[in-house]
Amino acid sequence: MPGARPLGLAVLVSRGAAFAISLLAAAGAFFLFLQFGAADGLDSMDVVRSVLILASTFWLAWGAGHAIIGLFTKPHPPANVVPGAPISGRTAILVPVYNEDPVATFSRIAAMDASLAATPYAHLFHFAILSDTRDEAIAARERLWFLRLLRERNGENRIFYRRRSVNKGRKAGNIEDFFQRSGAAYEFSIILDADSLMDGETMVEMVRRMEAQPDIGLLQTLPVVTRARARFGRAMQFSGALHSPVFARGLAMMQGNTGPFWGHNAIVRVRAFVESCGLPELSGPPPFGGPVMSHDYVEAALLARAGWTVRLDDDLRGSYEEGPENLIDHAKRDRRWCQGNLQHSRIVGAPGLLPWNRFVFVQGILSYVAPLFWLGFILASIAAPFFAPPLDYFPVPYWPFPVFPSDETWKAIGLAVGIFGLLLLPKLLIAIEAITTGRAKDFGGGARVLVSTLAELVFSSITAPILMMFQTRSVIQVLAGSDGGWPTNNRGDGGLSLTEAWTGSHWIVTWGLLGLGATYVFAPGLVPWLLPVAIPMILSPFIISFTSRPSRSALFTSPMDLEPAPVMAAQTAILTEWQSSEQPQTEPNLAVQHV
Amino acid sequence: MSNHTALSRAEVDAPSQDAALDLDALVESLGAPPLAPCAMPKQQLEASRPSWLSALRLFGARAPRARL
Repeated sequence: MPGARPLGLAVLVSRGAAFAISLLAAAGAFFLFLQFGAADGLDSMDVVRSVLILASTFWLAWGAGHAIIGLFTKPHPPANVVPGAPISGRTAILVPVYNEDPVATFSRIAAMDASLAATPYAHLFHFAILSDTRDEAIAARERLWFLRLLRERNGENRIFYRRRSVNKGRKAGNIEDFFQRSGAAYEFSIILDADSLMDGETMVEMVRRMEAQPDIGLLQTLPVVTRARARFGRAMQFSGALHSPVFARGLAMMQGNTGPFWGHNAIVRVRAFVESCGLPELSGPPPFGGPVMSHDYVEAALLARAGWTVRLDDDLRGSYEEGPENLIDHAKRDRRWCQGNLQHSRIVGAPGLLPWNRFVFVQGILSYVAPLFWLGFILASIAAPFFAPPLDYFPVPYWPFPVFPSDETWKAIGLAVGIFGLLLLPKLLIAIEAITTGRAKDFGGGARVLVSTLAELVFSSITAPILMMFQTRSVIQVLAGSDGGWPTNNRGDGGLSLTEAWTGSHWIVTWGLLGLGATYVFAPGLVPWLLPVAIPMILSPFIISFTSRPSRSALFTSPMDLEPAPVMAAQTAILTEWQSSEQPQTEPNLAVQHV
Repeated sequence: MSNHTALSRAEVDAPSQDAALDLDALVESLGAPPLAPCAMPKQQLEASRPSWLSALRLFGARAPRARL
C-alpha cells in the first residue's frame, strides 16, 4: 500500500486562490448588504439576510474560482507515461444494469467491444454485465439479448452476464459482489453505467497509465454527455461540452492526490479497491442510515485514506454518457443525489479521512443546502418590513430640521450586479476562451458558441428557480426522514405533455403564486425583484413541457452532433440494426453454438 | 414518455416453459464470470466512540507518538 505524499505547490496555490476569491467576494457582499440594510437603521433581519448573502456568495464564488483556475491552466497527459507503451494487465469492464433497456445497453457493449478489437489488446479485456434488474420481463429480454450479443461479438468467455437474486447494497453492492466472486482474475476494472460508452483506445490508455504509476488506485475520466434530443437535454449537453472541461480542469488543479470518483467511466486497481472500499451499511434506517447511496465519493475518500492516488485525468477523450432529457427526470436523479450527499454528514467524521475528502463531503452537502440560503434570503426579505424600526426623521433632540436616511439603493444594485457577475462571468469567459483558442470550431464556430452561450444563460436563469424548488423539497424530504428508494433511470426520449408537467410541478405554481401575493401585500417594493423568480415558478408546467420537446434548431450544437466519435457511430449502427431486425432467437441451440 | 424499447409479448412468451428453463441454464453457464474469489473487508465509516475532542482530528490533531 502506498504511503501519504505531500501536496504539490500547484495544488496549494490553486486551493489558496479559490478560497481567497470566495472569501473576498463573500465578505464584499456581506458588508455591502449590511450597509444597504443599515441605511434605515440596522435590525435583526438585516443581519440574518447579510449572513445568508455571505454564505450564498461564498458558494457561488467557489464555483467561479474553479472556472478561473481552469481557464489559466491546460490539461496535459502525465509525464511518466510512454505513448503507445504495451500493456499487460487484465481488465474487467463492469456494466451494472437495473431495469434498463437491454437493446440500448448491450448495443453499447457491442460497440465498445468492436472498438477494443481494433487495438492489439482486445484479449486483455472482458465485459461483465451485472444485472440487478427486478422486472422479470426486462430480465427475460436481457437473457435473450445477451445471447445475441455473444453470438454477434463471438464473445464466449469474454462477455459475461449474471443476475443477482437479491440486490443488496444497490450498485455498490452489485460491484462488490462481482469482486468477491471474480476480482482475483483481474488487475484492473473499468466501471461503467448502463448509458456509458468508451472508446477502445481510451480504455487501453487508462490501463497504460495505471501500469505506469503503481500508486494510482483510481483514475477518473471526464465523460461527455451525448445523444440529447430534447431542448433541456441539449442545453445541458452544450453546457457540459463547453463548460465542464474548464471547471474540471480547475478541480483537477485543486484535488492533488485526492481526486473525485463519479461512479462510472473510471478505472480502478482491483487490489486497491477490494482492500479499501468494502462499504458497510450505516447504522439506523434510511435516509441517513442503511446502504451508502452516493458510494462513489466515499470510495474515492477510502482509497485516499489507504494512501492510494485518486486522479481525474481531464486530458483523456473518448468517454461518453447520456443525461436526463427533461427537468422532471433531472429532478428525480437529483433527489437521489441529494439523499446521498446529505447522508455523507454521517461519514464526514469517519476516522483517518484526509482533510480534502472531508471538505469534499461538506462541499457536496452545501451544494444541496445552498439553494435554501437563497430561498431563506427571499423569505427574510418579505418578512423584513415587520422587523424594521420605525423611521425617525428627528434623531437629534431639539434639532428643527429632519434627517432623511441616505439612499443606498445603488449598493443593492451593485450587489445584484456582482452576484449575477459571479453566475454569468465564468460562462462568458469560457465562451471567449473557446473562440480565441479555436475550440469553438468543434461547436460550429464562434458565432454559434456565443449565441448558444447567451441562450444557455437565459435558459438556466429561467430554470434555476424551478430547480431551486425541487432541491428545496428534496432537502426537506430527506431531513424529514423520507427515503427516496432506488428509482429506475428514465432513458427514453423524455417528452412530457402539459398534463404530465402539471402533475410534477403544480406545487411549484402554488408556492410561486403565494410568494408573489405575500410580497405584494407585505413588501410591495420587492415585487420587481421577486418577478424573475416567481414568474418561472408560476409558469413551470409550461417551461417543463416546452423544454422536454425535441429541439429542431442548431442552437446548443455540441462537437458530437457535428462529428460523432467512431464508437458512437458504431453504436448507432448496431442499435439501428438490432431495433429493426427480428427479435433474438428464443431457442437456445439457435442462439449460440455452445459445446 | 417511452422508457424502454417496446417489449414484444411474443418475445417473452414464445419459449415454452422447458425452453425457457434451457435458456436460463444456458445463460447461466455462458454468462458466469471466472471464479476467482477475492475478500473485500468492510471499512469503518462511523466513529466508534464520538466525543467533542475527536473533532480536533478533523483539523489534523493527532495523539503524540512515543519517542524512541
